[in-house]
Amino acid sequence: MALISAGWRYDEERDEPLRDAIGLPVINLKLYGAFRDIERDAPELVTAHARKQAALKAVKTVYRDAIVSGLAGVQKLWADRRDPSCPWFQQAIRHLQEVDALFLAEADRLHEEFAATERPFQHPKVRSIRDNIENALATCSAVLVAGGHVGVLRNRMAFFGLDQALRGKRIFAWSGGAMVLADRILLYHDYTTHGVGLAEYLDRGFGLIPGVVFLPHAEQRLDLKSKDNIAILASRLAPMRAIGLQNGGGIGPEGRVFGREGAVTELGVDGVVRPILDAAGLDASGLDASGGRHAART
Amino acid sequence: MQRVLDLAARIERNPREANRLLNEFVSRWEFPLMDDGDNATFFYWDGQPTDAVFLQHWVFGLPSRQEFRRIGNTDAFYLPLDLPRGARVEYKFEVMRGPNGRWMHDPRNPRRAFDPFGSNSVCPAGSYEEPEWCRHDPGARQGTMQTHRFYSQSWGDEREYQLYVPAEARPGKEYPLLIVHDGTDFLHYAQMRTLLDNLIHRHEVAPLLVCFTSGVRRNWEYAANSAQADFLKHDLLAHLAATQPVLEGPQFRGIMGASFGGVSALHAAIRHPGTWGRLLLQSGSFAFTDIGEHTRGPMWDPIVSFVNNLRENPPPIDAQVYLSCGTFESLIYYNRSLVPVFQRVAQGVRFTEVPDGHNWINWRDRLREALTWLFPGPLWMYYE
Repeated sequence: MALISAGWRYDEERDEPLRDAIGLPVINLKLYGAFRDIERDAPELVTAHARKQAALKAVKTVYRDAIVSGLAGVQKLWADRRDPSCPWFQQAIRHLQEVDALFLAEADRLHEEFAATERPFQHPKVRSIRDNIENALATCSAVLVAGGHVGVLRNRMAFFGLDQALRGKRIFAWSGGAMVLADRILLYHDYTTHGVGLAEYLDRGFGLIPGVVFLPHAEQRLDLKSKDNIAILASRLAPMRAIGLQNGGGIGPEGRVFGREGAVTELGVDGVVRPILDAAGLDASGLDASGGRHAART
Repeated sequence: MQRVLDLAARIERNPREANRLLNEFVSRWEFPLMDDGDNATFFYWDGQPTDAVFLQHWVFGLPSRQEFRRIGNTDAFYLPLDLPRGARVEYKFEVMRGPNGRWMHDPRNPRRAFDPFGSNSVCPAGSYEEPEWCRHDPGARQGTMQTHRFYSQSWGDEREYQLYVPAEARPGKEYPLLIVHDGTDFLHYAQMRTLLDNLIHRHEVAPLLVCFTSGVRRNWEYAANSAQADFLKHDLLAHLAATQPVLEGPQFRGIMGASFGGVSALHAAIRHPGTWGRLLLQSGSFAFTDIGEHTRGPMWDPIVSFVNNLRENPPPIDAQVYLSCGTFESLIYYNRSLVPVFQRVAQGVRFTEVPDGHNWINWRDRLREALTWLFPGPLWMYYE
């Protein structure tokens, strides 16, 4: 099995407990370490990459400003009526969704610009690492994608082309790993030391499981008791499904849900969090064509 | 207090049974007795003839020496005290036998708070809870401590400091820096190493280098002394920047202190603008006068002069400022008064006041809120 643990950053190679638990040979692709090699061997490419990331950060600052005002309108309209079909509420949600879409489009543009200008895959060092990754993947029957720092994980995987290289593979992904495989990556935390954080998109995911936003550790990170918050979040993410993943629960082959009841939930636009027993509706066509043998879990 | 009143009534009915009733009472309850969450009743009885008992505490606003009431003709005493919700009071008993009083811990309360002068008994009102993040977490990776010495031009002598290096530190990577006044005390009495391990491990606080420095002639050095501000920038910071992987830029450089240490930190930021972008000021001794002379003694003269100037003509402060103070401190008035000043001239202000005193546990308990704001970690990004 191939392992991607770049989300663990400097702990990327501390994978012994995972190897012990799996009991099968594991090849760690060491993407975090590989990027450090690129920093050393291709500094000009890394500088351009850092420039792109800085530009993305600048866009995010504006995006956050737009979310603050957009969410304020949505929350006010929801609090007054609590009616998801209210046209004013729906219009406010559409505005927020447009803000989200604008940010994602800007992110796409920056990524594409970097790819077109720098052509990282043609750099000999990157090509060599990618060849090694592809060779490793060819010998593996499945890929494990661990969580951790979801930004680092997504960026390292994208840098080495894993967004494409994983298509058609059998994948077991958890927490941040599951988030990266979905359509979009949402950052959220209602219980920070300084209050509720305003949910925001990190970036696009790899779209291997389209139409879904995974919300790992939903019980710990989201105020699921607040129907208002849930209704607003689910409405904002719609038509994508907002799937909460709890420790020990997950979604397996053919959308079969496993783990304790309530370990996999769906956030409804009516503010209700419902346990789901079957996620057969999920389109996993981006994964192993032989039967969607994938698993997303926390 | 009802439990003590019931005891007193039983003793009044059966005075010959007083010792037995008192023994039953002290073996049954924990002390101080807490009623309705936040009302405390202090209790003293050691079976010996006792003339009087006083509560000695450091709650500004209450008489600092309060006399207990005697139960009947016994040598047992009690004192009820209403406390604000979530309050934490450090105290001692003064037990009078003849003309002599003896200060002691509450012998029936095992809770203690330590400081450089010794320790006090602690009365936590019902809703106070010791934060779990300041206890040792065996799962948290531990940073390392280093001790260094270097020559200070500003003081003309050698100075020692301890450096906390986060567990994740590795060659080639640079980190933000926080300098802590009264560093040895913050390590000993505020468990700062443990809580840094915990908060960094939980991604709540960014991995950072923390330099624990301590004054030699502490009160004089910390009392808005320009030589101290120069020491911090030209000696200590320069030395650290040259020898440790410290990130460039004021946004990565913080300075903190409590009491006189808070004064020194603020004074350093104002004397050298653009150097310190993160200020953590706890129970700062920011005494000032609106008219007339202050009454705190000559040691405070430079502080009062500094704060008076600051209030009269506040310069821009290129820093985020986290400010906290206990409502049981005489300093609360001065700290509250500085908040609007900081709101005008600083780059962001957070002010927290809590029902606690001028002590290390108060300062420890605020560190999570302060550090997560001044040096936020990547918690937002972690899903594991």
